[in-house]
Amino acid sequence: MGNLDTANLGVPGVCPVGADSLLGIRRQQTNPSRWNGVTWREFAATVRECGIELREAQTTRGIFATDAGGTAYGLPHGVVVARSAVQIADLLKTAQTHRVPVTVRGGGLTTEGESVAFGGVLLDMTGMSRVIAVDALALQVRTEAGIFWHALAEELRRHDLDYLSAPLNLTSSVGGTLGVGGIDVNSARLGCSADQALALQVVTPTGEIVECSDTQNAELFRRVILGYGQFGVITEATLKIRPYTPLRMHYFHYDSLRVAIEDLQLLDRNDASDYSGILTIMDCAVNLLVAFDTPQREAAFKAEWLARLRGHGEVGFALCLLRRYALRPWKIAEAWYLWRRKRELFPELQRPEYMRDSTMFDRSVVFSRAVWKFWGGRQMVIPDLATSAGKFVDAVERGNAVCRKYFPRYTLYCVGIKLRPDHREHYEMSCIPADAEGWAYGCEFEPLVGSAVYSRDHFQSFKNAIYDVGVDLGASYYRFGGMMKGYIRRAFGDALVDRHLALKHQADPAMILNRDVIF
Amino acid sequence: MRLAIRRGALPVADYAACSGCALCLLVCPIWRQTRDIELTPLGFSKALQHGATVAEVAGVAEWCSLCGACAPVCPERIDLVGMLGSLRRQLQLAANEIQPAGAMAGEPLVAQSAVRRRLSRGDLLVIEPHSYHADYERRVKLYDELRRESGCMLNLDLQRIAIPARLPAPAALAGAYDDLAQARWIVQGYAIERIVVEDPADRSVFERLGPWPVISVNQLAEEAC
Repeated sequence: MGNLDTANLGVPGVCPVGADSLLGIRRQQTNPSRWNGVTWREFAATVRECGIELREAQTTRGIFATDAGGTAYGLPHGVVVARSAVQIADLLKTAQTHRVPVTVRGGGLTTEGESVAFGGVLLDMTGMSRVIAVDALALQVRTEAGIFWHALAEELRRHDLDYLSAPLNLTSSVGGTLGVGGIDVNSARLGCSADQALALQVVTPTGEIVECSDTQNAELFRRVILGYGQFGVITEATLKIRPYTPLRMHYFHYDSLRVAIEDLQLLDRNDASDYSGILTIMDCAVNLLVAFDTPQREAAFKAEWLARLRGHGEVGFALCLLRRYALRPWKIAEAWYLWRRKRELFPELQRPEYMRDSTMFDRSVVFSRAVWKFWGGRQMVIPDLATSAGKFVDAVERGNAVCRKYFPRYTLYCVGIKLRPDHREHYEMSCIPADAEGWAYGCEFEPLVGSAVYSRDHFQSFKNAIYDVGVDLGASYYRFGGMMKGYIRRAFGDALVDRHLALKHQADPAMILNRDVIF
Repeated sequence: MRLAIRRGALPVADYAACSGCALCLLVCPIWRQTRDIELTPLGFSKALQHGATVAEVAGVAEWCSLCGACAPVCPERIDLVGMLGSLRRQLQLAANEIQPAGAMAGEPLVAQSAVRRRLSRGDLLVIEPHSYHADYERRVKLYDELRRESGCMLNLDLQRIAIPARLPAPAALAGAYDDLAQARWIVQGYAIERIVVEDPADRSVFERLGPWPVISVNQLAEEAC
């Protein structure tokens, strides 16, 4: 089945999307039940007969017990380290026969348990993480899909090349990112990470190895890109790349989320910068990051757009805050927090070994290390909202109000995503909201948990409150799978969900691949 | 967690703090060779978090070269090298046997201005990783200045971690670790005229790789005298 048959879908069949997705029913955390392992022994024997190494030791399985979120826990019955497309095809064929769930894991950076196996096999894709070929003339790279973006960047740099856009996290895998979207601070210009994929090698849930692109097996390509792993395992990817450039970085500081977002959108609409994004320390200390690939682009920005931005420089903003806290002395603890956070964070973003002549080298390393150092932890919940440009300020302000209600300290991260009109079908049932034109905007709401202890119910209520804002606004979400899949029907509507469910039944008759991530 | 410590008498090192970010994996030479999480600091820490005994994590200890690359990148500041070194001792694997002969105590020779002056654009300086990672915060600045001054190339990855040219071979590594592949990765993409090694034991690998002249920093220092 090289391609999906969209004309003959038949009835959608049993729907694994939770009943609590229905309006009026209180939504609860939807951890799937563990697969009962009834056919495991026969399956394991057959897999081993195929020459596949299946690891069943408790300590091996324990390595994959949770994901970056650290709130969903499950153990697979066994682990297979991916080594080739043929090996994965054999694994999936056997899994279909024995109806054994297969959970695919790249960097494991999901937060809603999407890469956690609740029984069955965990397929560790990082075993397939080598660059296959770099074509510097055509500006394309072919790589195994389990590769981390960092490892890809390392290889490309030796050719003075770089990827287009990737998450600000070095240990995301290419395959995992293409399956969900991926956003970067240059996404307002270059689109989401998934948009840089030119072609994929995919192993379908029934074990066929298929090459697909916009012109070959196009329906499969459209469903695998941003498809949350429902329609196949990406084993290789051909990506568009570009010449490497260091960044010329500027920060503007705001005390208003609304004003900062309006300025961000002004820059995006007018292609005034190469990189743009918002990162908050608090909702009264908002940083707009603006950066450029070339001195020419930077000079054009300074000539035409700099004066129109309403943010402050570092000194100006310090004076604003002084005035603010002089008038509110009872908020001295908040002022102390801001000062301490700034004192710790900003030097990390300007470490001398990464700066030369006011330009930043290896931004992905700088940001990624900072992400883990200042935002990482054993528990991370990062609900998000993705909207059209027009709804974005409202979405962020309402989401911010939810954060204030649930947590004393949190961070918001906002970026624009340039949409490709020719990829409209790729975006179906994804984080890209259906009503977005030109750009979509995404905001992640991340509580800074630190050493505090919160119950899973507290986290879940927080996420629900954010996602309810999205339902009200007609938004989409980046993280709508796993524990948040109860929102799928409310976010996308029954007709679209039923169509995808029917496609899923057709592509994956035993419903084994990434079970319970979406379906 | 404590159960594992009692059962195997593991050192009290905070593997429990590992959040699974995998930054250590990116810089681990064993990972680069095997693509197997079980043999990395991440796999080690996670296995311990799930109740592994000393015997069950012995494989990691046997494979690890204690190059120390994982320690500076760990956001949780886990003493990974200390943990693995202790584990090797408990398993009665000679921790010292895998320390390279050239591991330098104190200041590296390239800190001497007379030696620095002898490095130039076209030189690839192969940093000895053990001492570099053990003194990372200071040395990353030292070598960055050296690169700016001389224009020389360094065996540093994008995280400014030293890529080992050669791993001293514990039993488990014998035959499984490809020194030449590692050296090939170090030189890939660079316009090299000469290779300068800090650890004299690295010379043989680069001489086999060819075609560049290979000298040690010691020789540069002798010339400077």
